[in-house]
Amino acid sequence: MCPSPDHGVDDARDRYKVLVVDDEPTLRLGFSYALADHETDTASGGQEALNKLEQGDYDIVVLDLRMPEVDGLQVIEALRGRGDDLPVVLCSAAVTPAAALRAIGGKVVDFLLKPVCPAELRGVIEYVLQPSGDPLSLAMREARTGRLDEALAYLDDGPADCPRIATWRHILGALRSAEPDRKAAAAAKLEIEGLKHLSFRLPED
Amino acid sequence: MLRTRLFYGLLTLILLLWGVGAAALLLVHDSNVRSEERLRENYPAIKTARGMRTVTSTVNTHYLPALAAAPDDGEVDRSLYDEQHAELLERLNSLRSARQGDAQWADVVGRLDLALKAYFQGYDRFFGGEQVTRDERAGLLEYLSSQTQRITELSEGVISLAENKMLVSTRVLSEESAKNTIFVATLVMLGTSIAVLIYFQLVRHLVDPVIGLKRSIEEIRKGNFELSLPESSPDSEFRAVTSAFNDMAAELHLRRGETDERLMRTNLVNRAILEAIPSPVFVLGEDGRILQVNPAAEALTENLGVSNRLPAKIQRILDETVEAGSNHLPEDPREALLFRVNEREYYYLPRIFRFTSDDGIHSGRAVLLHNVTRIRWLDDMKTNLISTVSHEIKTPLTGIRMVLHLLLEERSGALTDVQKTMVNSASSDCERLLVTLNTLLDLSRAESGTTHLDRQPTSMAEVVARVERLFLPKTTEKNLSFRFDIADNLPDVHADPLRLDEVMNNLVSNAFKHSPEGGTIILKVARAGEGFVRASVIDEGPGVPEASQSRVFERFFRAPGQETDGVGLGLFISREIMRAHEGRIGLLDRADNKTEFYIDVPLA
Repeated sequence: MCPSPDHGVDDARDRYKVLVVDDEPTLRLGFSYALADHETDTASGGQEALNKLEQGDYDIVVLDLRMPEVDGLQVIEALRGRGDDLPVVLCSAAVTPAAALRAIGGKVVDFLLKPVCPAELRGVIEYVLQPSGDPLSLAMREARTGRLDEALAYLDDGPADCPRIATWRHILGALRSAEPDRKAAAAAKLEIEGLKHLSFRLPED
Repeated sequence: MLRTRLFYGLLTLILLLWGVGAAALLLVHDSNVRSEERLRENYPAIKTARGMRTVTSTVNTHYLPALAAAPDDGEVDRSLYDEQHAELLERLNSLRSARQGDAQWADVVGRLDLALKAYFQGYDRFFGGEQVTRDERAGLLEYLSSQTQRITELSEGVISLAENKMLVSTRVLSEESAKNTIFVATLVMLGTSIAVLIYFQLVRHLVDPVIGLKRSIEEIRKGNFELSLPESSPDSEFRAVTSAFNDMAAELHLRRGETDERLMRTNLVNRAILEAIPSPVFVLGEDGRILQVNPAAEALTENLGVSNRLPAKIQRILDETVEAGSNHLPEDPREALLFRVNEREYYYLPRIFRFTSDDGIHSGRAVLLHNVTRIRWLDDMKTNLISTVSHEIKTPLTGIRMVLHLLLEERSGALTDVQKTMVNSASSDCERLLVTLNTLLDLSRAESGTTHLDRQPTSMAEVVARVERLFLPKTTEKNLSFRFDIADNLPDVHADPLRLDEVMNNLVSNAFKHSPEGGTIILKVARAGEGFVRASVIDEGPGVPEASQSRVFERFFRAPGQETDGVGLGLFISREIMRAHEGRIGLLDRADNKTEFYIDVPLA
């Protein structure tokens, strides 16, 4: 009686084609249901995801980090390796600072920390594909295409006391300078602070 | 008795000395007197005899020319003759009286007397004037001449006799003096022999025992107690010394035997204890030299290539401990030192403590290396296990949670009230489980993540300012206010600013939780003794119950009856961070209804 999770349901105004990659079947199911407004496809592993991404014309990928065989980071690197700048949302229970820095280096700046509730999932799709006009969103839009200087310029416009903007400025600055010391400092900062300032948060209404 | 012997020996010597001196003086005096006497006896006789010759020749010179000349009628003055006649008689008497009882002398003087008488007769005839003729005169002259000649000869005889007597007496004197010399020499020889005798006696009774004593003492020092001194004669002063010495040697021998045995037993016990301890143990003297090591320590140092020496890392800790004059007794296995032996890793926790003998004279240090490799391994295993299991549980749980959320959204169909209640209940359980898992993950992160610090000169005042900025928005919730008490001219501390922020955030967050409505939180920064800056967070909350005070820094500790959220890891993680900084964290005794937590951070 339930519609198949692997097919779109609604004819929403902004329907996007989303690929959900996760080795956990329940999560694939849940994500697909949560994103029922969009056209959703699933893959249970990194290799399958890469195959599907090569064939299909997706708007965005929700990617699990920890997967057997080909993991999330390898998917990102393979994808960027073949010149595909498709937006990726990295979704994991535990993102280490080193993994986060590698991901950001691979133009992935959107993190969802599991456990995720459906509203957050829907929110991040909208945040990535329809960015609002605030400095952080604009900076993230630039960062997604690898334009770190522009991203930093937007961040400088933003309020200085916002911890999210401060953290992003710190990390993007470290990545742009490519100094090992600054990278290590950024990793240490992430180690302590956790990824809460990097990860996506639903705007509080 | 040596004293008496010495006394009599020396007394004899002194008497002898006096005797010899007195005898020598007497003999010299005696010989002087005698030679003087002889001189007095003989010298006037010689002089008198010689004078007789002079007198006769004077008389002859005066009268005889008249006799030789032609006969004269004139009366001859006989006054000179009479004068000289008396003189001659006096001289004769003096000669006669000079030596009475000497036959030879009396004979010579007698003959001189006769000659004088004849001489006087001649002159009597002369003065009688009977000789008239030339012949008679010549005959008288001749007679007188011969008598004069005779007197002269006899005088000569008297002189030679006196001289002879003098010679004889001198010879006698010299003979006597030779005898005296022999006598004195004998006495001197006797004194010398007595002195030699005394010398040998002294050597035998005084020097020999002392030398024997010295030799025995040396033997005893070498540990040979068997040699005892020969017993001295009963009247010797050394008898007491000798017997006392022999007693002492025997006593020493006995004690030494006991001590040796006790030492051996103690040594055996010590060795048994040391060998039974599986951890390497080094026993060091006060000067830091190694006195003893147990087999485990021998094996370890040999494997490390520093045979029977302390490994450098341990030596450094030991030096610091000695300098601080304290013991080094860490308990946390994370303070263990890593050693590589045969390509395997071992963790040893060095425990260094000072020991003193009961009398407090001797002291030293013992270094025990507690092998905590297995504890460390188990601890790591536990941390890893917690981390792995948490992750493994978390992954499916996120799926379950997602599904529950989807159901509650009712997009796939409305739920009945009963269904809704059940799904809500499952969802909140799910949330609780997630909180627990996150706590466990935080714990393993804290345990494995405090080892890498990015320490740099950091301003404590800035740390406090950052904390304030972070918490200022929250003050409105409970109508709290901050107060600052920050000393001027504080030096920078040597710390990882991010970690320090974490600790301060934790303390301030606790203060927020426990502050009453409208309370004040004081942030205080000041120097704390040498080498530290102290940052305190003071709140007006109910404080920590006394029974819990010592446990607030333990992991998972939550004071009983505490309602606020959290699982009791904040202070534990803070303590770990401060420990990694070689700093301190603590809770001061409650005063003025205020609770003060502080951290001491080492200076840059």
